[in-house]
Formats: sequence, structure tokens, C-alpha cells
Amino acid sequence: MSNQEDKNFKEFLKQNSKPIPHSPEDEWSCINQRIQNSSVEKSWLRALVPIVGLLSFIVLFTYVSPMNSQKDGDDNIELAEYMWNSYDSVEKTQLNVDNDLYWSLDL
Amino acid sequence: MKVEKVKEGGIITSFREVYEHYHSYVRASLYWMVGSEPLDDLVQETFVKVWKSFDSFQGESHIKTWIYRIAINTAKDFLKKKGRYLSVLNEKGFLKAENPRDLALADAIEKSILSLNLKHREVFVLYYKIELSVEEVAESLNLPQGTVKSRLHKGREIFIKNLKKIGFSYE
Repeated sequence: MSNQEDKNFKEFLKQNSKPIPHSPEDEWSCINQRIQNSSVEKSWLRALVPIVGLLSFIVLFTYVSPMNSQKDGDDNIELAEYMWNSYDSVEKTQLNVDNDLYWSLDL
Repeated sequence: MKVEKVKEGGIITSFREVYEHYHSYVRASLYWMVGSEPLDDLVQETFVKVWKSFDSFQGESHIKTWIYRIAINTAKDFLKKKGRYLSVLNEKGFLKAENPRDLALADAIEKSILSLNLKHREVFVLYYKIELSVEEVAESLNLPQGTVKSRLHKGREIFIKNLKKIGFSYE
């Protein structure tokens, strides 16, 4: 499209388009109000960050840590049982093993 | 409200001045993107975003193209949220045309623009309605100039076809 055609097309649109509805008179104050509201929201969010952090810390140390300790305890019992059973089974099968070798295993 | 400062071509300008200077252009670009129904709300939203982004605006682009980018993105977000790319315009009262055909043509132009898909509509609006240059449109939309030109060409073709469908022709 040539520059002239382009110009004509713009002119056609300009001449025949509807006018844009006027801005409301209080638009500037509405914008100010929205900015202030969003600042208030932001400051609330900022205030919430340390509170949420503190709560997470408390939950972590009063609830999650003992659970882990409990879990560790359970794991230790399981391990001891396993070792005990393993020792039994080794003892049962040691009949075929040379006595010296068996005792040298120091089970 | 505190008075924030922004740089415009090396000159320090207040937010109020930016608003005074650009609000009618922002309004026009939003009107041609989404129609009249959500216009007031979107103009306000655009300027709230402009305010919030002052800190991140480094002046690497012209403030004009930066503001249009925010306005067009606000319009696109609105249209995506609403799940529609066509605005149905119910408001008829504000245009007092002597000749009913003028009013019908104005309606047809509006509908034809709003019928364009978004990628054609945004370049069409910024170039033909807001009268930015191709370079400025490219900067506003973060597109290569070649893409802007091809979308303008295609958009104009579709616009003329849409206009024809409604019963008007552009020669």
C-alpha cells in the first residue's frame, strides 16, 4: 500500500468512526484510590511474610521434628530386629561352615 | 498520594503529567481493542499498572510505547479472562449522527475492527487508530517491524472484507 493509500485509509477511519466515550470526571481520583488500595494490600502481604515464616518454623520444630525422631526410633527397632533375625539364620546355617571361620566372623 | 517521578526523554515527569498526557490515547486504544463496556475499568487498571511498573521502567523504550504495551496487554488479559475476542457493543446512545447511514457505517467500522483477531487487531488499532509509526508499533508490541507490516496488510484486508459483509465497501 502506498503512503497516499495509507493516508486515505486512516482518514476514512477517522471521518467515519464513532467518537470515543469521554472519561469520567473522577477518573484520576479512582486511579489514586486503586493505587492506595493496592498499596494497602501490598503492606498486608509484607506483614504476613514474617508471620507465616514464624508459624512454619514453630510447626516444623513442634510437629515435624518429633515425628522424624519417632520415625528414626522405629527404623532403629526394625534394624535391630533384622540383625537379630539375620544372626539367627546365620547361626542356623553355620553347621556347614568351618567352626574357626564362623567364629572369626565375630558375629 | 506520593508524587512519583519518571523519566521521559531525559526530562523528569510526574505520574500525573503522564496521566494527563496519555489517558485519552490509552482510552482510545482500549476502546478499539475491547469496546465500550469495560472501558473505564480498563483505563484505570492500565494506569495502576503503569504506576506499579515505574520502578522497573528503565527508559530503554519510549514511555509512549511502554504505556501502549501495558494498555494492549491489559486489553488482551481482559479478553482472555472473558474468553472472548469479540466485544458485543450494546451502547448506542453516545453518537448523535444526523444521517442514519453515518451511524450504521460507524457501527460497521467498529464491528469490523472488533472482529479482527487479536494479533491483527492490536497492530491495526495502534497504527490506524492511534497513528503510531510502524517502528513505534513494533516497539510497543515487541515485534519485528516486518511482522507488523505483514499483520497490518492482512488486518486491513480482513477489515475491508468484514466491512463488505455488513454491507459497506471501501474502495
